[in-house]
Amino acid sequence: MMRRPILALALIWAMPASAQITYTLGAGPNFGRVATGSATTSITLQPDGTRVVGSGGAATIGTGGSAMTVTIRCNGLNGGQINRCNNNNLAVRVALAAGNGTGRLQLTQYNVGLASRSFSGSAPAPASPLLFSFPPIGNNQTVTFSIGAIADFLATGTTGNLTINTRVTATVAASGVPPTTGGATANLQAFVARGISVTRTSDLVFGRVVSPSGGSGTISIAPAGTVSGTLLRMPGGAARSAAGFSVSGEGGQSISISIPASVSMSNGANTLSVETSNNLVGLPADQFLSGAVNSAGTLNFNVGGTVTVPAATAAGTYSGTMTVTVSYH
Amino acid sequence: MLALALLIAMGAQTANGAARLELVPIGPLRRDLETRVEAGDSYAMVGLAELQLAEGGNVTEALQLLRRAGASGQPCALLRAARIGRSVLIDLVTADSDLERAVTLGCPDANFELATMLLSQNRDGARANDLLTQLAANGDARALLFMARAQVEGRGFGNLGDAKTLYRRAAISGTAEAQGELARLLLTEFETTGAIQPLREALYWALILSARGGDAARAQARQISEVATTRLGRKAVADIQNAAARYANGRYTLPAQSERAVRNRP
Repeated sequence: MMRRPILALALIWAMPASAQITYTLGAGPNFGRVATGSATTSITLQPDGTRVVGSGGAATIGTGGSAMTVTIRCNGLNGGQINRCNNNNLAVRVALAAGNGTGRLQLTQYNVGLASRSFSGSAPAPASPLLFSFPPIGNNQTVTFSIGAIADFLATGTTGNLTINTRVTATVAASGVPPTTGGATANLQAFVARGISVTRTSDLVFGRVVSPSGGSGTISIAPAGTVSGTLLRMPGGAARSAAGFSVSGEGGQSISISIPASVSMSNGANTLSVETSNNLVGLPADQFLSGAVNSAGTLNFNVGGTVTVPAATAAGTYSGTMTVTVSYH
Repeated sequence: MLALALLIAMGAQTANGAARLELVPIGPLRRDLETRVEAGDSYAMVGLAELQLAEGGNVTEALQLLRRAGASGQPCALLRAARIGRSVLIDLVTADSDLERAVTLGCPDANFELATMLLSQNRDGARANDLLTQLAANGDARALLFMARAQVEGRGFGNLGDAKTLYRRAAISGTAEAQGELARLLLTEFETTGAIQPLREALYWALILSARGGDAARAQARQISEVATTRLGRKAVADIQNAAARYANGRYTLPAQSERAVRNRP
């Protein structure tokens, strides 16, 4: 009579050690589009998808950051495993599946938050690998949480669509140590672009002109540098030229250029207005850099202008500043 | 500060360009020009005359200054005087005299203007012919184009060859009108005779002209390209496109027959 309970206990110990864990991973943590800076910049992708940029000069472009949503189900197949789902903590591990980065994207840590259940203890600090656990979630029950990341964006290296393979594993085993293999994987990703910059190559110089004795006169400098207008042009002043600007950044990218429609030039309390023109093909807000992704792209353009000078305008040197802004779309 | 400047976020960037203008009063300029005119500076004579005209001053005085400049080494100042005399003062006799002097003293533009004036007024066609012939011999694109058009319209001049040759020489020098009209002329020749060579050359010039922009030029190039693709094939059209691109890069190569025609120009 005493041998049968002993046999039953032996069968329980011989069962597999873990219950069935199933994973449902959304798209990997996505930093969206990032323009790198002149120095390595750390960017935190928070579990709610917002991005926090550290110092170093990098910047996020537009919207588009998103965390990875992970759902884990604990499913006991028989009495013993059901007990594990019901009685043991669910321990989770989020870690690199392979290397920690490629090109300008280098992962430093993962972070977790926005969980559908409370953590076992407080939410863990960011780490790699990231280990945390939930109190027993129950048989055939799920827990959902979001994974963000912290990555360094380097100033040099490969650009474009960069990915880092991320592995999620979990266990309800008594050991509480999730496996380092298996589980499910998803790609952490970012579109990394060179930083955009614009430099002035020449100024808009109208040179020396004679003040009209009546009515008003004009002088125009076309973006190509052609000079026209009714004002008498005099030699001896600064060489006439259109303003020139050179934009550089990630090849093939859509950019927006902002050029002021008018620029005010002043000479003491006296002012003259310059109506600008440019030689961009299409709308300034709808431009492209040359080349292709993962290579440098450029766009050069000129800005001309027309000044109308009324008679009796005070003689002297008029000057003003034209601020041109460029940004990625 | 430098480090701070280098760490500016790279998502958007700005650059400042300057706009500058130096405005000088008219008084000192006029006094300066008058002083230089007194000293016999022909450039100052032209400058003072233009200043006078721009200010709506005395036209007769301005013309006198231009004539003085013409006699002092600026022959084209006389052409300017002739144009103003004709259009503002309506003094055709004096204007013709100024123009003749401009030709005599060696203003290149005056030759063409005198020739076309003689023709338009049905005066001394032989002299007009001589002037245009001389200009064409020197490669003057305006004269070449004028004479080519005259040939097409049946108003031939001398023994200067056919309109195509004249058009080609003007086209090679970069005259857009000549390029477009030559393309049309050659396309008509192809449509009339069915000869392939005119079609090839018509496409060549139409492509060169279309590269300079303009809806009409692009439409012409598209039309001829379609005909040429059908008749010559894509490979031949591509070859002609490459030749046109070489022209655009300053290394023009004409279709062989056209080259011979240009080499054998009168």
